[in-house]
Amino acid sequence: MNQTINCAESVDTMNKRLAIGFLVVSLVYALDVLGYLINEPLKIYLNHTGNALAILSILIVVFAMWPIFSQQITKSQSKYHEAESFITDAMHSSIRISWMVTLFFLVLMMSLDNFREGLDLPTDFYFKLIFFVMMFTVGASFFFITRDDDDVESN
Amino acid sequence: MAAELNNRIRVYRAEHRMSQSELAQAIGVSRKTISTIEVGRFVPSTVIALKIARHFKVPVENIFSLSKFDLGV
Repeated sequence: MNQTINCAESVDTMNKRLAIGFLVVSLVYALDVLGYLINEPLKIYLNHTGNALAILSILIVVFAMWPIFSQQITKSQSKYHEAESFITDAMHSSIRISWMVTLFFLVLMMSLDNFREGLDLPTDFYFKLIFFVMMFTVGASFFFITRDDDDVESN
Repeated sequence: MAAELNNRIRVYRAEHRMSQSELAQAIGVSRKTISTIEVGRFVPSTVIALKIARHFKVPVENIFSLSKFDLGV
């Protein structure tokens, strides 16, 4: 890694890109879920959009992780390797929030057992819905926690 | 409720004529980490607190302190 580039900044950038990746993946699942609820002609467009977004999400994740991969490949070590940062902490908090929201959502789904049977939707639908909730909550809560409301560079 | 941690990083930065980016670079954290510590949004680990204190060549207590309320004063 270039010595002039702060390793912590690279990790922060990686986390921000990963959060964008989470939001794009959640959008892919949202379109999949929507596909079960709409009719055939529109479903084809949704499938194409979903496929394009899936490829985009893979590219975002690879792009986000690239600094780490390249560091592993070249075996280079930055002078500083401070794992702790506000952004990393925000990512951990977002994952915790996502876990709680997903758990709450699962309990809610279980309590609506009779309603679910009435809808007559495949199990795939519910799996994708749960993945959507999980991924969206990570991305959305990350950007909420890291929103810039008092972030100014000052001397 | 978490204890409130006061800090005087901004004061020390001003004395040393350092920007947040320069301090971040010097101790190996991101600028966002320094800015959020300064405004109290992020409570740093002991390691980061000690690195900041060492950089300014002062005891850590000179930079970080608990509020009077949290000290029970």
